Parts: sequence; C-alpha cells; structure tokens
Amino acid sequence: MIYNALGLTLNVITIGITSLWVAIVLISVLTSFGLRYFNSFNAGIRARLLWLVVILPWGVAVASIFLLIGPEIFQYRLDWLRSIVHWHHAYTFQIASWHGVLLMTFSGTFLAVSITKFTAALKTSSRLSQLQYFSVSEELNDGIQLIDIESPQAFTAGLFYPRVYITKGLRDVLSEDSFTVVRQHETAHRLRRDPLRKYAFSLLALFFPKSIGTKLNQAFSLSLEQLADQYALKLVGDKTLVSKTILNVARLNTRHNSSTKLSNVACGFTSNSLQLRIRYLLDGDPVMPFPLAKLLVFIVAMISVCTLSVDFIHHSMERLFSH
Amino acid sequence: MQLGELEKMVLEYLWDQGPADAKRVHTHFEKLRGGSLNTIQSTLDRLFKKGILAREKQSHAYQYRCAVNRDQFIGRLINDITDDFSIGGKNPLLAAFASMSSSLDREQLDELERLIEKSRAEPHKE
Repeated sequence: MIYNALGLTLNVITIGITSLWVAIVLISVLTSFGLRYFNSFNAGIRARLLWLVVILPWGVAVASIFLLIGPEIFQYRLDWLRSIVHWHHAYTFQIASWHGVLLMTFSGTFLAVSITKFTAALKTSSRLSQLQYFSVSEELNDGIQLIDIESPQAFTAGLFYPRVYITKGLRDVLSEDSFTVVRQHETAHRLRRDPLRKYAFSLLALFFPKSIGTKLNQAFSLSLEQLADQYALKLVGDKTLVSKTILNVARLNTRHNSSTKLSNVACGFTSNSLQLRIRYLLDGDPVMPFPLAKLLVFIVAMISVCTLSVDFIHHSMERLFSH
Repeated sequence: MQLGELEKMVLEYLWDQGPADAKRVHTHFEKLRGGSLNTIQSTLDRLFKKGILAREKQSHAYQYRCAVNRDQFIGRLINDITDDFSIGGKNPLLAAFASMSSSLDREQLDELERLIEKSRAEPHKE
C-alpha cells in the first residue's frame, strides 16, 4: 500500500487515465459518425476543431481529476460536489488492485506509442539527412532546395527548421505560373511549420483507435493542404490556376508511379482528398462560423459524463471486487 | 535505409571514382580519416548487403561497384520519403504538394479537369 503524496499522485494519474479512456471512447464514437460535419467549416476552423478533438480527452481528464480529488482535499468547502462524485481514498493507493493494472497497462501503451513515434521520426530524419548529404541541389532565393533529379516531387520536411524541397523534374515540366503556385504552397507549409503541427497532432491521434486516428490524421492533413492552397491563391489570385497546378502535379505523380503502387493506395479518402482540395478552391470557403456555444455545451457535457463514469466505474469495481 | 557516416563517404567515393577493391578504398580513406582495412571491408560488405553495391571476385579480392547511380539512389530516397505520407498521411513529418494524389485514376483526373474548365468558363457566361 502506498500512502501520502505518492499515493495521491498515483490516484491522480489513475483518475486521469480512466477519464481519458472514457473520453476517447465517447469521442471516437461521435467522430466515426460526425467527422463529415466538419466539412461545413472552412479549413482554418476545421483544423482548430480537429485539434480540439484530439486535445479534449486530456482536458477532460484534468477536469475529472479536479472534480474527483477536489472534494477529498477540500472536504468542507466542496461538500455539495462530494455528494455527487468523489474518490474516497485520495491518499492511499494499492498497487495490487485494478488501479495498479490500469496504471501498468497505460504506462506500457504510452511507452510503446512513444517508442513507435520516436523511431518513425528518427527514420525520416535519417532519410532527410541522407538526402541533404547526397543530393546535388541549388538554393533558390526564397530558401527552397531545388534537387537535381527527374522524379516530380515537392515537399516540406523538418520538425523545427522545415525546408522546402522541389525537384528539377517538377520545375522543368511546369509553367512559370504553376511553379510559383507550388513554391507558394510549400512556403506556406514552411512558414506555418506544418510538419511539426502534423507530428504533434499525430501523437495525440495515436491514443485513438487506429481507424479513427487515421481518419483524424487524414482530415487534419487535408485542412493543412487546403490552407496552403489558400495561401498560394492569395498570391496568384487565380483559383483555376491553383486547381490546375494541383491536377497537373497529380497527373505527373500518377505517370511516375507504378501500377502496383497505385492499387496499393487506392482507398476511399485518399482518392477524395485531391477532389476535396480542388472543389474547395473552386467553390470557395464555407461561411459557417466557429460553433463556440455548441462547443462549450459539448465540453461541459463531456466533462460531466466522463467524471460521472469514472466515479461509477470506481464504485462498481469496489463493490464487485473489493479492489 | 539507414547509412552510417563512413558508408555514405564510401558510397560517394565509389560514385566518383568507379569500381574499386577494399585495398584501394582503404588507401584513399587512410589518408583522409585513418581507420583499418577491416573497417573498410566491413563497410563495403554492409553496403553490398543493403543492395547499394554489387561485387565480383577478381583473383583473391572483391571488386565493388555501385549497383545504383546517384540519381537512382536519390530518386529512391525521395520516393521512400514521399511514399510514407502518400498513404493516408502516414508520415506526419512532411507536407507535400500533391500528397495523396497518386491514388486517383485517369478518369477521375479527367473529371476534375472538366470541373476546372467549367469553373474557368463560368465568369464569361455572366
């Protein structure tokens, strides 16, 4: 049995984990049905809403900790709250209990997730450093690396110091206007540090079930691409030019990729993403405002449901198994 | 594919100088950074096992040459990087211009082209 400050800390973590898991289950169910609703908003609002989706479980977990531990610490002042939810052994933690199992399981999952993501980051970094080392490239006046290779590619990479890479193979087949679109689009990614955003987002999305996490990552990627398209559009002022450039680069990619590769990646959302980008450009930004009031109600509801669920799970477990 | 510092230098050397045996590579690097013949031999062997070098035995020694030229190697590297995020944004460390685009077939691309042309023509109709 662990007592006092360490016991309190372990209880706080246990409450947080339980609430986090309840929140993730609820949000996953809602997301699997309601992700399309996000398409009614412009890319900027959509990106913020998606951030909220992945951050909310952690926020809810923190709120649950305060609501459940608070009454135990400030018994006299929060008696009303204590009558609804409470954690009656705030300073006592038993390792050989369901709390201990939960803690171990989460720690294991957290460790595995961290290692996976860290390894992936290292792998990409290693490839990028090899690219820097071997490629013969010239730096354009806006800091873009022009790589002397035929394959038509343009991308931005690097977590803290992102760089834009465009191949000569792509530049040589595009008109000057289209090349400007590509440069501006990638510059937008660099200025907004999109690789870092994507990485941070994917870390949080990793705690969701795989299918939901993939959908969230794809939706977030799409909104970042659309924001970069909008940045390019502001500078060139011609939505058909931007759309046409996206399409031309897509055609080049299609021609360059082998047929086997095409069949491997031919899944629903990926096919849609290009269409969604072009349609978004042609149709213009949706005008739906940020749904602040709805969100506040949703957040309060989530905190209430998750905290009550933790309280219910805690007491049910104790009644059934006596810890 | 992970390459160590010496592996990168050896590969660079073989691209520039053409086929060579371990002794010749060692003579070159001994002047530059020191190191034993064994180190060079195992580096060449690792590059061979990674499929970057090819080798054939000439009298008692292996003659190593690059199995891929510099352009092919960089192309493969870029493809590896971009492939990672072409499948549903799997690699979150990058943002690409036409990410996730290679999954569209020609008909779908033509359909999008028609849509763009229609949009281009619309202002003239008014």
